[in-house]
Amino acid sequence: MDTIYLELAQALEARKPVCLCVVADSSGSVPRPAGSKMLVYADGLTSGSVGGGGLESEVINQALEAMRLGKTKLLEYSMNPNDENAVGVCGGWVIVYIEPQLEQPTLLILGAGHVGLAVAKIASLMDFRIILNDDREDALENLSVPDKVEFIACDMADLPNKVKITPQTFIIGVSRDAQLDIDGFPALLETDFAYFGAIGSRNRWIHTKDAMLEAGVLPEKADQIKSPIGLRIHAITPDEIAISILAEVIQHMHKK
Amino acid sequence: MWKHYHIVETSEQLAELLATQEGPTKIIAGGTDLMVEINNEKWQNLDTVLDISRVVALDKIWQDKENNLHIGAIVTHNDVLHSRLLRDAAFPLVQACYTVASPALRNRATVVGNLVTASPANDTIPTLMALDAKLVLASVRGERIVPLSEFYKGYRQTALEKDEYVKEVFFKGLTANQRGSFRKQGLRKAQAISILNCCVLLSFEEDVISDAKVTMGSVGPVVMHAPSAEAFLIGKVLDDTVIDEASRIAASDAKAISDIRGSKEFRDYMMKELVFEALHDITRDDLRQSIPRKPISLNTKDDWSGVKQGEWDGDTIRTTVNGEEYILTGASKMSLLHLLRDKLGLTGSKPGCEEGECGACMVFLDGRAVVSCLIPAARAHQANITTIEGLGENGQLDPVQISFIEHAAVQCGYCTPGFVMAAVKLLQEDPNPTREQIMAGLSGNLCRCTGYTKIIEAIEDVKHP
Repeated sequence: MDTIYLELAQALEARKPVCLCVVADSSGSVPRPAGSKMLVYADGLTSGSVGGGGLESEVINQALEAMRLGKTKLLEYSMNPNDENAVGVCGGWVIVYIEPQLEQPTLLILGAGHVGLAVAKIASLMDFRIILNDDREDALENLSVPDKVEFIACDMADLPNKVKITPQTFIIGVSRDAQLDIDGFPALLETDFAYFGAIGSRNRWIHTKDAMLEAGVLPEKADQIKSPIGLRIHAITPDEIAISILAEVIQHMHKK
Repeated sequence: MWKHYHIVETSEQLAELLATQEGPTKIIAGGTDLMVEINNEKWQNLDTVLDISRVVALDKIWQDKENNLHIGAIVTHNDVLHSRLLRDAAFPLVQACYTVASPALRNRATVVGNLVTASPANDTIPTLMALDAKLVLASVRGERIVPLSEFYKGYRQTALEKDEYVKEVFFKGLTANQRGSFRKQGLRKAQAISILNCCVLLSFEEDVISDAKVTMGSVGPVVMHAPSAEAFLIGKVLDDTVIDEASRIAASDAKAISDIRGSKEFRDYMMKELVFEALHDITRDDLRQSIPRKPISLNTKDDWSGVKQGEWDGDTIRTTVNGEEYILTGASKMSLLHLLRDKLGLTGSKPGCEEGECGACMVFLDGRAVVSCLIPAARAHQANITTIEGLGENGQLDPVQISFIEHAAVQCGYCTPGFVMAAVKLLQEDPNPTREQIMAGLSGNLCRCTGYTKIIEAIEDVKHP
């Protein structure tokens, strides 16, 4: 087996963002043949090689962009010095396939009340990591939740220290009290999340936002939070609201 | 068997029932230890069995505000294997659970049960002892916290009072500078009681070991630490010389005994090897890959709800078997296997060893493959059961059965229903299993005549409808 796959497996296990670059096809004189592989990490470090030199540094840049966008790329490079955009002088051409290894998306549900539980249950049908948070350690006592839900009891503001929040993390604010949001949201707003929504009436959100601004949160930060959370489907019950929230998450996740 | 069977609904009710019992009483969760003893008539005068397997409050894995990880009383070994919290912060426990029995047993066997049975060979004890785990013992008098290291009072003896139950076990999750590994020596990879096991847990400051825990099971009447090896490791850098010396010292700490599973000489020799391997594991970058992220568990149900309250009258079992609803009386004092065979005439499920070893009695209980010989019949109450007779649709055989026939993966046929059930559940869990996954899925089934190659080939070749 190609050792690059072992290293890839280790990176995935350690949940390190990584991008696989493969020379998919080549013709004429090229530094490395089809099948050559390279891993690119988020900090630009690499392992393996697709040929070195100008070609490789261009592939690294493209890989870093692919990781940011979460999209694959198929790129053709000429190494014929007569071509305008040639990345080398070997003479041939290569096609490089770039595949960012996306981590499983995470739902970080703030509040283990009726709606939080309904979101966790319905989301368990999909491929999410599901973290349910509440400041009450006994919030789930005598309740049945899907096995894959991870329950972490702590103050909302503590979560960035306990959970790695990444551009694949969807934050679902469904706490029972606006004050909990006012105390907890600012720390979460400092993280690099994919989506952040908050439940509540328009009045609750105005109250929460005003209090956060007063506490020194910048308006453009606060405006990253979508409130009211969820698509407008006139949902009423917790299950219905959960469907509206998850529909919005899916919409956001697949929007490119 | 037992005189009275209670299906417990809440933890409060459990404490009250324990406080008021007069005759010999046992708590049953998975039953994978207790039912073996009951089937072997070890408990002739058992008065009451308290079934806690559906008390939802005891079915939680969670992390508290101080980063303690909590494992409730009815959390199974398979639950641990699939918990991301535990894989991230207690990998040695995941390793230990992965070596216990087979998938169908792990669907029922609980971690707390493994602790309470208190056999020095039980695999979760060394790891949880290395993690400095604590138990919450509960009763009507309140709760008390007992460190696992003080819980064992001798061979199969614990600090549990008559009216107490273990509510949960908890411990601090591993931090970024801690690494550990669990190792076990059994006669084979699955379904084996440990001849020896050990857990090593090291804390590092830069490259220097700042704290060391070395625990060893199945060497004496209780699981023990290796104090000289622990002291030796502190302050060292983990290189080959240190690993060699530490494993030699650990083996001399063990002062192993001879018994039916191994002689003292064998144990002394093997303990050195096990500690050596565990210490080497800690230097490996790819240790996590030794266990798949989603190990085959023969379980396609992610969730269940507790039992409906107030419907259990002490005997009447209301159950669904192969889609048919039954109301059964006078069937609550036997195993599920005998209920199916003797009361319902469903003789496809076979009594083989009746110890959970052979898998010939395998059925599905609420979506999980289980061995019915180790399940009290009353667990069928408000449950959904599928037996070999319930496979296939409209009188047609299941594709797995057809493939077994085409590959002649059958000889005397006695074990075959169990193999077919395991294979059907395996393919529900993963429709395209690798050979390794097939072997893992079948590890709880024994066959004495056909051999395994044809059975594995039959499963590899199942034509999906």
